[in-house]
Amino acid sequence: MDSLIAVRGLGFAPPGKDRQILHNVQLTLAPGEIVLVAGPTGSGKSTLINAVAGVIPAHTGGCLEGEVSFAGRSLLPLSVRERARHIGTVLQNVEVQIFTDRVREEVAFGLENLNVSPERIAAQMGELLAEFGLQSQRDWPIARLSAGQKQRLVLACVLAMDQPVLLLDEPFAYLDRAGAQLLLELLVRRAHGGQAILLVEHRLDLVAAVAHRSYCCAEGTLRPGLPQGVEATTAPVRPAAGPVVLESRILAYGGYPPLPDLTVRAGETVLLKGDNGCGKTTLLKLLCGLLRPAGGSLTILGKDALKQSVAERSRTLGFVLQNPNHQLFADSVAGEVAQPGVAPEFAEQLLEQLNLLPEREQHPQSLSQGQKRRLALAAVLARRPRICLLDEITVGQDPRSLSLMLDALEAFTGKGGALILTSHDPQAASRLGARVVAL
Amino acid sequence: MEKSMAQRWQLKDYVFAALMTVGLAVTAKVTQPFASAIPLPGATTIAWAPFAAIFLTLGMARLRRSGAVALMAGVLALILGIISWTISAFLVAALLAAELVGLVSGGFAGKTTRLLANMAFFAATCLSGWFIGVTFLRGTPVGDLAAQWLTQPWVLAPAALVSALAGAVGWWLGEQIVFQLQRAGKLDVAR
Amino acid sequence: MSLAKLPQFLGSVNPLLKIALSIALTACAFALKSVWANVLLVGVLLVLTFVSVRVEAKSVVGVGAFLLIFTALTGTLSGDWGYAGLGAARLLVLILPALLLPATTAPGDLVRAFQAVRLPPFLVLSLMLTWRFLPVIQQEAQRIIEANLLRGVDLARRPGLWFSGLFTPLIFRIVSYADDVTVGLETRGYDPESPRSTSQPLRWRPGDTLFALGAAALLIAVGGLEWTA
Repeated sequence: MDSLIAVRGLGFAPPGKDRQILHNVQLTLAPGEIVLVAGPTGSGKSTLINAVAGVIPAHTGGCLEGEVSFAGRSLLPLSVRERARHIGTVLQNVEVQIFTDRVREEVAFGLENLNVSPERIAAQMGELLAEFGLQSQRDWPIARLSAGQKQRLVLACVLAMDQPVLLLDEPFAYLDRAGAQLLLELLVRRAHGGQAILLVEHRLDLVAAVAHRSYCCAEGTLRPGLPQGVEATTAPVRPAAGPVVLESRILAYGGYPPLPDLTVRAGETVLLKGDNGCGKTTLLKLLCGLLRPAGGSLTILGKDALKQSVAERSRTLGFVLQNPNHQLFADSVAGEVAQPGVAPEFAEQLLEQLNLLPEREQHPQSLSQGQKRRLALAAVLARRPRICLLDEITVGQDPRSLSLMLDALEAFTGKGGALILTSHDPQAASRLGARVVAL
Repeated sequence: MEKSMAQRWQLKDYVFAALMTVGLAVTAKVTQPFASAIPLPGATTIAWAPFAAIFLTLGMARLRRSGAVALMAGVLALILGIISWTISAFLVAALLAAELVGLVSGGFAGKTTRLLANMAFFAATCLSGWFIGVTFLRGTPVGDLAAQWLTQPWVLAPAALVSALAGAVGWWLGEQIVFQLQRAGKLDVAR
Repeated sequence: MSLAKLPQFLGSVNPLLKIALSIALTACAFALKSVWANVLLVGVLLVLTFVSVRVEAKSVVGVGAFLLIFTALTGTLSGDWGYAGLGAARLLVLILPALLLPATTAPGDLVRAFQAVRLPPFLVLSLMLTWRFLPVIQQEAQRIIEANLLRGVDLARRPGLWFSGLFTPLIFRIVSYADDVTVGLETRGYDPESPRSTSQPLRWRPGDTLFALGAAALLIAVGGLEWTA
């Protein structure tokens, strides 16, 4: 079968650097194919997608070599917008591909850009919304959509131009099982319809089965096959022997069904498990005080926590947020961890443990996403909390980076710290020997 | 890389300016409680200036060309126009003052130009806000008396000066962030 | 038309018409010196506001308290209570359209209105982006404030830390959004220089004529009262 997309000898060096982060990449993509690219964070997967979509080097600078072609024609002289007529791209953060505030307006936006007549827009919109399972949300404000619905909306919008090629950068990252299944079925249907799909994804358990070919991106090159997973050790659930450090009873909030009661002991790891929107993050926010419960009780280290402010609770309780960018304040990696009251030796030790010492003088915002997550964890652990809350820390993490974080967390619980985490990744939780609490 | 004056505006410039406009709007909201505590018309911008000037500085440093302030503050004026055209009016007066500085200096590539543009912008917001307030007061004997008091140079000049200085503080903070963004490799700017 | 249908009606009125009326009303607030002309305007605007906008009790109390203090202060300082009352009424004429117009006009409608008056495409884009990303950036700011709280820093009590604790990380987020949004727009086929169609073009409807006539009648009545005063 003739390939639609052909990548030949692709190499890329970021601006100001001589070393290529992608080199001599060869890849083809034929109609009806789903090709999966996996690999560690920072290995160049997103760079590859961006090079095909035209984001690199036009928007980033740097030096690109090799050839990227569509149906035998070079794409290199074309901009992202010009390539968008042939290639639909769904970026990692779908929020930046949404420009209006209502579902129907958003679908129309792309068609208006193509100067499609109002009559045709109306007809096409109905078809698209039906295909992507959004018909009943047609008049909804976009803010009301779940992560999975937003993902499908952007996919519908991008594919409104009916391009033969689709590029997806980690579309499953924030989806629960049900949402992921829906998206997966949709992609398989599109591939059966003849669309060529290039998928970059960490959650191999979900997507490996539907991919016709898989590649591992490592050290800037592409090799056939999936990456060798870091040995998935499963720790038995640790017996909870330490004193009780946190106890919640009938905490209630907003429209959520009753949240489960928690009794967490020192040294214990608890995984909050449930589908998107079931209240996992809400429960974490209730525990740390960012949200006030409508009822119930919460005791932390023997004290009535509901009478404490967030700042007061923060002395014993740390929270690693889903997005590390909100949690980084200093102008150097070392400065981020060296907070008032943190011993310099302990700060160094944490940086070493999380493999951040080589970057100690860098600006935190110049780090990769995986490094930022590790730094956010280091900054929280540096304050020596007794209880640590973690919200979806495994998202977008490659096995090596995740393993470093899990090591640090094991050391934390080994010293009597308690962990309460949410994660869509069952492997990470089982490695920590977590007790599962279903929501 | 020097951005030529003749070079056309690109999509990324419009987007950057729009996001800076968002920053201006957010600072207006954040500082609103402080602004409403200042009883003099126009001088309320003194509370807004130190924070808003950060975004103006950033936008000028990144876009560099004449028209940068107009693009940021003009859109804000259009949006706030649906609340009241008086807000649009003083924003337009301010952006004209800042653009005049840019025009004389051949763009906003230099730090000093950015400082002067910020000072001109906030002094103008203060003066035009003052003018609108005074116009609102006039027409009745008591209002005329209050307006007469408010237009005394010893009331007006210090308020405009403080507003300009508040803009200068924001400029200084803005340049600090420009430096940090450069260090993190996130912004290609002129310094 | 029943009062219950009024919010829906105001929401469907041509935004350009509403903007024009809002400008006229602001001009009235500056020009009118007749108590009765102001009272008529305030009366109509209050009815429209309470019927069309969900006004929270605490907002009513807040604005009421502000007006009372304003009137008391002006009255005490000037010794002219008629002037103080007039000032309060004129302030209301200035404030109420500012509440009504945004509350009854969807951002999408406003963008269509600006497109209809042939505003340059880059300005329409800037408006659209500002609207779209204002809540996103506010949410980012909120998350950063929360992240500070989680480190024991309450920014509300420590404005000295606003720059390093809030504005610096927020600006990094905004700059990162700016880069990504540009790419996002291009992936959606947007080009500021290419012609675009409009899925729901702005049209003059019978309701607009009704609204325009009502607004004209109100302004004539107000003008009459001012003239006779």
